[in-house]
Amino acid sequence: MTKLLGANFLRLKKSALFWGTLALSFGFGAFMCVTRFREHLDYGFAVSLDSVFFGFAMVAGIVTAPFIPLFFGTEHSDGAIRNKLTVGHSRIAVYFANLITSFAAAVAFFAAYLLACAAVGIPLIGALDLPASATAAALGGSLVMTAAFCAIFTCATMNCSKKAVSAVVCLLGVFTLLLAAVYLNGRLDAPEFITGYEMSINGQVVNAKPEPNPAYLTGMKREVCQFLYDLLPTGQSIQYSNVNFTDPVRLMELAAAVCAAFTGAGAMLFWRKDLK
Amino acid sequence: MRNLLAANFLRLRKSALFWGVLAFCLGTGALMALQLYQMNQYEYFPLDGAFFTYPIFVCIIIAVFIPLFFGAEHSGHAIRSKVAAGHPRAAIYAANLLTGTAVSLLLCAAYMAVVAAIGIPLVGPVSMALGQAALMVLGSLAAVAALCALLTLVAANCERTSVSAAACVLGVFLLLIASIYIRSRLLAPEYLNGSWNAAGEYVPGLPTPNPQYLGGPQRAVFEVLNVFLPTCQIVQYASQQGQDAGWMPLYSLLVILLSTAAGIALFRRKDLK
Repeated sequence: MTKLLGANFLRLKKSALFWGTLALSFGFGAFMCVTRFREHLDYGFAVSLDSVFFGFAMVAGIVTAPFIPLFFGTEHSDGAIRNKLTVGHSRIAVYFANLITSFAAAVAFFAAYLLACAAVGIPLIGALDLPASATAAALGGSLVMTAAFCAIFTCATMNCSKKAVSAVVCLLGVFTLLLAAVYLNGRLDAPEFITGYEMSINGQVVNAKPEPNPAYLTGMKREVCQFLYDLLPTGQSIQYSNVNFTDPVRLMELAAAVCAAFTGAGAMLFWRKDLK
Repeated sequence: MRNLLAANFLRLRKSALFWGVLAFCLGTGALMALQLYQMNQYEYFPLDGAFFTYPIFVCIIIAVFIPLFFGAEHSGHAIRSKVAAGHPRAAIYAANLLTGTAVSLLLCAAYMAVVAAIGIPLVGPVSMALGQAALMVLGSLAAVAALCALLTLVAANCERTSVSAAACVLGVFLLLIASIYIRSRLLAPEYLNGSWNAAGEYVPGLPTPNPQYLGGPQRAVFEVLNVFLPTCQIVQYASQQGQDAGWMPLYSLLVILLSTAAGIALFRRKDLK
């Protein structure tokens, strides 16, 4: 396992894809800070680092979705996996070494984004206003959520021999899950009452009666939607990037469950896979 | 050229990917029509909302289809064989572009047919005037063809199917997000009946200049992008708001010509190994 990890990290060190993605993550962090600073200058909005510091959570899935299949898919096309098995490594060790490497790469991308926020953001828009406990919860939760993304994409990559197909599946999957999370967020955020307006002749509001909103979710439907929103890594992305979460421990537990489920299923499928 | 096209269409007929994306398109169209019918149980919504959404779905589907279908020619060395058999590279490129465009137009037609077949009996025909609807359909097909030309440019000039597939899918999603952003910035009103406080909250009141309103050279750049980018056109057609619908097909044609010329020039110089 140590040798497999060593080989993976050596390949990572020499990978243009890895360094390119790392540079993009850093650039994205710097761009977000400069954008907030320009908003402050142009419109006079009060801005703080809180609004950008956790922004990587929103794009963690989009960044790792092409990286993992392109980086590890090469092992299928070049026969590297078969070679690893031939020299005596178990399939489970190969799978876990790739999962750990993908998570380490994702953490490096996250760190590059945070570094950019610290280096560019603090001088321009100041330090974080959030309490340390909330910052730690958001960062810790984002890491577990990133691990869930890595587990899903590693499962798809290791069990699909065609690199192009796994790249497409991961990218389409992450965007579909993102759209699902945005839809669920919209349904859950619908207000319970809508204020009805009655206008007088001169355009003044004379009567505003709150009316029940038919789009408001109640009972079991609301619970199911909330559960799915918390379970989906993309739902967690939205919550962490907006620093709008109520129970970080529950979110981390759900992300860990997703991670465990996909790792278990992925390792089992890979164990039985015909590597040709 | 005719032989190349015949070979492409034969491969298409036997391709599981092609039949898969066609089935997906038909399924999505049926789903959209049924969802509209369900929404009509509470309030009347015309068929337009479901009928004109096809460019959005088709542009995502062809971003997957074109690199996977034509990328196989790189990895299977079919391109080298075609060149060795005496076909000019420009003809190979044009045949692939025509095949990709034919597939995307077929997907659009399949989507529209299924929405019309299910939607018209359930919620009635589209509310738009026939001439305007025809203009919207033709314009959106031109925008889809322009996107096809851009995707063929990437797929033909990138040997690695996985890289071109990832680039096309990621590119189309990012362009769609950028197009929605461009449109929202252009639609922001110049004045608001209120103001924004220091915390970024909206306070109702007298008309005040909207900080989100784009003016000057930045607006001009956004307006050019809004009519030139195929995804911007697609977003406008899908929301049935193509104000420049008369001109946009010409811009699409320009995108097709420019990207095809660039694609052929690059493909001619490409080392096919």
